[in-house]
Amino acid sequence: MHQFQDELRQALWKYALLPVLLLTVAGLLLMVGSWQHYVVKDNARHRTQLVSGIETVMEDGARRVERIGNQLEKSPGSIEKIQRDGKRRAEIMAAVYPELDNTDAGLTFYLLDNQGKVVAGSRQQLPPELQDLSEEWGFLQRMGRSPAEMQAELAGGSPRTNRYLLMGKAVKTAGQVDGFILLVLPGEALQNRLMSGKQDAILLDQFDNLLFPWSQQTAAGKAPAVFRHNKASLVHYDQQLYYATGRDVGHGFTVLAVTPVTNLLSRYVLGAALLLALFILMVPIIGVSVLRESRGKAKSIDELVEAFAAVKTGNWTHPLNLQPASGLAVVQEAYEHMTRSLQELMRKNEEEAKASVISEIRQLESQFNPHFLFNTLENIKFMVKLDSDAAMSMIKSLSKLLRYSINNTVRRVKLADDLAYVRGYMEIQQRRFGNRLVYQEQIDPQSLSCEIPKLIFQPALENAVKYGADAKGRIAISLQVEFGRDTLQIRIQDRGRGMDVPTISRLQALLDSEANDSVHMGVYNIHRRIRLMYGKPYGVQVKQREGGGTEVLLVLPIIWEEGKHAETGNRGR
Amino acid sequence: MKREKCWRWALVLLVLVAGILVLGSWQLLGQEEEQAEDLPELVIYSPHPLEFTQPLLDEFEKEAGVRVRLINGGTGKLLQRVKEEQENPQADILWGGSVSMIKPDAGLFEDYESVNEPMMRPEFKNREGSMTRFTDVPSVLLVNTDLAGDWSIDGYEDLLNPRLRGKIAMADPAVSSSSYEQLINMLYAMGKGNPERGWDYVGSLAANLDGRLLERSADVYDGVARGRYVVGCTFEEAALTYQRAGAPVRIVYMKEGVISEPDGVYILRNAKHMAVAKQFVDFITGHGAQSFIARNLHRRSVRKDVAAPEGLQEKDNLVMLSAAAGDTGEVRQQWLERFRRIFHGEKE
Repeated sequence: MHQFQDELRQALWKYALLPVLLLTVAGLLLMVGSWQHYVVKDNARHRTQLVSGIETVMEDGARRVERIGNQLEKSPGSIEKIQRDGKRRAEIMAAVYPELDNTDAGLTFYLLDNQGKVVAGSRQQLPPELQDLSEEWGFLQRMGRSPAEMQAELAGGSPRTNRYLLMGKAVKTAGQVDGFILLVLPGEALQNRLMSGKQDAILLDQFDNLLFPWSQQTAAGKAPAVFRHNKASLVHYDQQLYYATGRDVGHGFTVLAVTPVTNLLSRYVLGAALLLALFILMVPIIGVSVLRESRGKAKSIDELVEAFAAVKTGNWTHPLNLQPASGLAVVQEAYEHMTRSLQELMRKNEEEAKASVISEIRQLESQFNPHFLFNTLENIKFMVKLDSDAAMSMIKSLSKLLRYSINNTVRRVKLADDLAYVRGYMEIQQRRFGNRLVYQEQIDPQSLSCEIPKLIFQPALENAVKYGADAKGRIAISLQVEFGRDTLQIRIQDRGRGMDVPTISRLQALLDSEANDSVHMGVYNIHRRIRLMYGKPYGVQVKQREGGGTEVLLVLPIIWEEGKHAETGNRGR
Repeated sequence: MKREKCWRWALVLLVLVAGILVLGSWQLLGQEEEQAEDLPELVIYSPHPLEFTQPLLDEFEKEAGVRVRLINGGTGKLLQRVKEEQENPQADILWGGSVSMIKPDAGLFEDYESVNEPMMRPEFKNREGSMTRFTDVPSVLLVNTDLAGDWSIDGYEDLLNPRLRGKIAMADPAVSSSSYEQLINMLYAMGKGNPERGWDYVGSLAANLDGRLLERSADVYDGVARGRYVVGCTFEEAALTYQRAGAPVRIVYMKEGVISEPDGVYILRNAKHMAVAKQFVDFITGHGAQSFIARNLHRRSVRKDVAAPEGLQEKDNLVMLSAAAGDTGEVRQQWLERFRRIFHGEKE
């Protein structure tokens, strides 16, 4: 019983929790997937865009610087010449200017002497913030130190405005620095080109200085250190979360693509919290329903078991109340049908028992036929005057008969005993009827020890006497007792007018139907008694004899006196 | 049974996979410093404005290959921080603060003689060992020409003019070093060399302030330039900056005498980046930086070989004073307390 309940509970748990778990897993996967897509991929795309934008600018700058440098190196001391000699200036600049075609808007170009003074260029003067360049201060120093390659750095500007991107190279002649080539790109110009959408574009130098202002910059105008150090991860800054990735783009510059993710993450957290809340809510609900369901079902099983236990002990009236609309309603119906059938059966048995008792009582009643007694007494009265001896022997016989039949305590007797009674009876009848009554016996001697119900063929004999007279009024009764295969057969035959065929068959039908018939009560009673005592194959048969007359056949089981039964054909009760 | 087992395993596997995925993405969160090459760092506390510090620090970073983190604030507050963080200094350099203001706490700073010491003007030598001078900043009065009109304001005496009541910008000497310098200047100038006698003047001036005492040095020159005040007690650099920028202002060197007090650059004792800090001190006192400052940042260099900023008078033409006292902790405390009492009207 417990096992059933446990199994049920387990199964319910499993199938209830399963969807919740699956939902959680799905939710997690969805979160991870959307993170990958919306944040990581998007950020990468943006960064790539930025990187290529900046790299293009720098490569372009480098190329121009290179080519201008080449042009200048063609004639040594160019820079000086440009300053001094108008013609040389025109020549050299004619070669240089083509290199500056198709420059980006905002990019300005300068040729400086080794003191930092502008010799030629897009403008006559450097931007104000850059004007103080000297040998011992600023970009020139660094260009001078590594003249072989282009230098780039961020310079000028104040923390809240754009800086400049400087690219330049020293021009050397015979180991001496002649001057410098300088390209200046204001941060604004680059910013306009790079800004797109909701993501911040950030260009840093190696000191965390920004090329153009950024919403997250520190008071000192630099990128916050956390962004520098975590080049591809989540950064927590100023109570917001960002996903930042960076790429080096040469010359110590880094491009950062920063995606604000606080909102997205807070949405995730909200979603996860909702899921968790759902989970937490569902667990007790599921738990309670599971328990309730399993208990309900188990209770039904318990009740079933109880009911059947009651049936086992013989109590068919134990009520069974299973929960309606459970699948066990069928069982409930079947149970009720079963108990009803049992009750019916019991009632029938009772009835039958009663019937047999009644029949026995009737038998007893019929045994003591008042007519017979009355007639015999009449005869005795008659005889007393005529033949007192005969009367005496009649009285004796009568008293023997009465004694025998009054003794109620015995139900079953030896055949021999009953025969004695029969002879006594026939004797009395013979005195009444005189020669008109002829009585014969044909008894198998072995059968004398058989056990039979007491006075079982008495009624048949009575009938034979009453109705067995032929046309001339003679009554010839014969009693035969013989063994069948495994039956004891007792025949009472007469040679009377008998009954016509329809009557015979009606009578037989009556016997078969086990219905009561007051007219032929005697024979019917015998039949009932035999049936009740020994069962179906045994009983009474009434036949018409060939030569006329009636035969009443009693079929009994072979029972020897000590209670030993014949091997077959016995249905004991 | 077997099928059930299969399901169970599948479920466990699924949960594991999901868990790993989630953990994997959480990895990103936890991913800390992927230190590639990392540059040396330097942390500087400075009261100087960003416009002043930025070009200098930019250049220092590139020349020295050092990443600088600048923390801005008022001198008094920064000094307080240095005191509090003595055991575990969070900064390497205190860049700014007049020598007389910092001298009482000279013990907080590391002794260091910069390579440029030989080139320092004699009055600006690092006598104390830990106080390398940075720039020379005379105290001046800044006058708003629009508002002053014809009034002659040539010195401290003129500040007592009743018409100037409530129109004088002065910062609280307790928090502003330039203002403290002004106080010393007043005491010596008006006391004729004896600061004790200068307190009468200070009392009168305090009365004429009409209860206004500003929080920051910037508020002084800013206020004058914007016309909130007619005259302010400030320092030369700020005044010059505004004048150069075209504000309606005029610099006045007090006729009673000007004290030109240098400010310094100080290395914190037990600084975490000691070597770089020393590098910085050498840089900021080098010829390049000092020339740049004189050319562009309107301050006088402490070096012999760097001329005064364009347009400024050489000090030889001014009445210069020097303060003998006022730079010890004790005296400073006394004087600040005394000023406070006077200003708040408490009886002496």
